[in-house]
Amino acid sequence: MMDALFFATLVLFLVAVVLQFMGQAFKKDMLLEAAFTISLIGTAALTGYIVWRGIVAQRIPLSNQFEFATAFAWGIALLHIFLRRRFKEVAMSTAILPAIFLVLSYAALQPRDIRDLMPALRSAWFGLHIGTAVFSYAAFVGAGSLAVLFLVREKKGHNLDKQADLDYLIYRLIAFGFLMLTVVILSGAIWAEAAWSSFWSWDPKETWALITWIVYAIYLHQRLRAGRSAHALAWFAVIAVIVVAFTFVGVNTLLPGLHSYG
Amino acid sequence: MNDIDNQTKKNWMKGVFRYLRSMRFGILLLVIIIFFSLIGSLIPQGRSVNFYTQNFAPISDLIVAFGLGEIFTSPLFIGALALLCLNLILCTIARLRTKSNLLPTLQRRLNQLAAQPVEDQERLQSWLTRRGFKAMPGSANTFARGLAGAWGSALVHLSFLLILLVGAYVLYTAQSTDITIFTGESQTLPDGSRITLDRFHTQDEAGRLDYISDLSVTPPGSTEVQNLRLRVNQPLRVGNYTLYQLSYSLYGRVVIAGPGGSREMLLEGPRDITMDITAPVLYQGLFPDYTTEADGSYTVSMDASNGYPNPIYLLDLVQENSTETIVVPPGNQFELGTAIYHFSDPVSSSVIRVKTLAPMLWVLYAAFGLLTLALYLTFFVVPTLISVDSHGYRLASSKTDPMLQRELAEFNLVSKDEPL
Repeated sequence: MMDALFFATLVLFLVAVVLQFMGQAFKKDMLLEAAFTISLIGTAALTGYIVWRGIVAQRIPLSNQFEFATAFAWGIALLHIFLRRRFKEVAMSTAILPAIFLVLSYAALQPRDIRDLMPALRSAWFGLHIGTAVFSYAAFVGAGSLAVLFLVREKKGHNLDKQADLDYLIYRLIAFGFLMLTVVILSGAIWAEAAWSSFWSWDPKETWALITWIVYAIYLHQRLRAGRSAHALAWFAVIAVIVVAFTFVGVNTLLPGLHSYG
Repeated sequence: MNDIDNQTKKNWMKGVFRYLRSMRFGILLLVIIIFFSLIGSLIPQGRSVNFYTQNFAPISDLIVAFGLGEIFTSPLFIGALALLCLNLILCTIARLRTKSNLLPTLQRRLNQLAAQPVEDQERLQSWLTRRGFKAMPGSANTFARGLAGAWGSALVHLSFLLILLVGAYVLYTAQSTDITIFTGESQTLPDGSRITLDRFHTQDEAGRLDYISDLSVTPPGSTEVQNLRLRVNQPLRVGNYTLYQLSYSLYGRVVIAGPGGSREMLLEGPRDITMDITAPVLYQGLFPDYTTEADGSYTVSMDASNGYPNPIYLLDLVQENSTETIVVPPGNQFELGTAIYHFSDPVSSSVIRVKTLAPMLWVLYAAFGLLTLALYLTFFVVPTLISVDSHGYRLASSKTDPMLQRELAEFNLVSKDEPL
C-alpha cells in the first residue's frame, strides 16, 4: 500500500511534466493549470508518503539512498510551489517539474525496504545534518533548473528586466543552498567528532561535499566581479548541478567510504 | 636613480600584495584545492605501496612518486591551504576596513543619486516601515534596513580562516590510539586512568543493533570506581582522554582435549585447529544466527545486521576423499579421531579509541557558529538606505536587489486603496 502511494506520486509528477510541456508548447492555459494542480496533489501525496514511512519506521526517513532521494524530490517540490506562488511564473514549472520527476525516478530504482537505523546514525545530529542536505540540494537543483530557463529565454531574446529578476532569484537560491550546505558540513563535522573521533576524515562524501561547497563559493564570488556575465553565471549554475549529482549519486555508488549506508 | 628603484620596488611589492589579497588569487587557490580533493577522493588514501601496485597498476608509480596516496598531508596541498589562509587574512583586513565605512559610503551615494518620483511620500514611508526599514537616528527622511549585513562577508572570511587554522591544528595534532579489551580485562591509560571492560553488548535496551561497552573506570590516583557506558555516538571523557566506541570483534572459543593434554584457542578467522593429524578440522567461522529444525538439523542465517544473537560454529572435517561441513552450537562438543573439540560461547572484545583532548575544539565550534551566522548576514541581510523627501526617493544598497528596485519603481502604480 505504501509502495502504491510512492508510485502514484511518481505517476502524478510524470503526468504533470507531460501536461506542463504540452501546455507550454501549445500555449494552453488549461493544461498548464492542470499541470500545476497535479503537481500540488503530487507534493501532498509525497508528503503523505514520507510521513507514513516515518511513522512505520519510527524515525526520520532519511537513512538510505531511497529515503534521501524521496526527501530530496519533496524538497524540490516544496520549492516549486513556493516559487510558483511567489512569482506566478508558469515557465518555472517547466524548468523544475522534470527535476522532481528525475529524482523520484532515481528513488524508484533504489531498494525501499525499511530497516533499523544503524548505530552510527542514531544521533541527535541526524535530522539536522541530513535534513539541511535535502534543502541544500533542492535549492541547488532549483537554481540549476531556473538557470536552464534563463539560458533558453536569453536565446529567445526575453525581457531584460525579467531576466535580471531570474538571475537574482538563481543567486538567492544558491545563497540559500550554500548556507544550508555549510550547516550540513559543520553539523556533520561535530557529529563525526562524536561518532568517529575526528571531525574531518577526508572520506569521499565529505570531500565531495567540500568540493560542492567550494564550487558554489566560486559562483558566489564570481557574482561580485565587476562586469560579470549573467549568461556565464547561468551556465555555471547548470554545470554545478552535475557536481551536486555526483556528490549525491556518484560518491555513493562509485566511492565507498564512511558514508556508505546503502 | 635610487628613488626610482625604490619606487619601482614599492610598486612591485604593492602589486604582489594586491594580488595576494585578491579574489582572483583566492579563486585560483580554491580551484587548486578542488583539484587535490578530486584526486584524494578517487585514489584511496593512506594505503600501502602494494595496494596501489595491485589496484592501480597503470598509474601506481605515479601515485607513489607524487605522494598521491597521502595527498591531504602533502606539502603542495598544505602549501595551498597556507596560501589560502594568507589570502583570507589580507582579504579580511581589507573587508573590515571597507565595511566599517559602509554607512558613510551609502549615505554619500544617496546624496549623489537623482531622486525617483513618488506620488505619496507618507504612504511610501509607511510601506518601507512594513518592509522592515527603520528611520535613521537624526534623519527622519532616511530609512535603513539590514545594516548588520555590512559585517557579513568580513565575518565569513574571518570565521573560515579560524576554521582552517584551528581545524588544521586539531586535525594534525590530535593523538589517538586504538585499544582492544576483552571482557573482564583491564587497561591502564598513560595518565594512570584504569579501564575495565565489564561487558560488551551488541544490542541496545530496545533490542536494536548497537555497540556498547560497560566500563569500570578508576581515575588516576583514586580508588573510586565509576561505572560508565560507552556507545557509538556517545564518547566518554576519562581523565585527559576521550574514549570512542570504535568497533568490536567476536572470537570463537574452543577447548581441544587429546591424549597429550588440552589447549584453549581463540578463533578469529578461518584456521586449522586439528589436534589429531589423522582427522583434520578446519575452523571456517561463526554464523550470526540459527534455528533448530524438527529433525534436529540447523538452519543458519548469514545476516549479521542484527549482531550475533545465536552464534553457531562452522567447521570443515577433512576426510580422505571428501570434506564434510558441519555446524556446532556453543556448549556442544564432538569427538574426532583421538581429539575432543568443545566449543564455548564466543567472547567479544571492544575496540576503543583513546584520544587526547583537543584544547582548541571549542574555538572551532565557535567558528562554526560564527560562519553560519556570517553567511546569513552576507546573503540575507542586505544593507540598504532609502531616503524619501518631497523630490522623491533614492535607494542605495551594498548589493543590487532588482526585485526591491522594481517594487519601488512600481509603487506609484499601486492603487492607493490597495493594502500595502
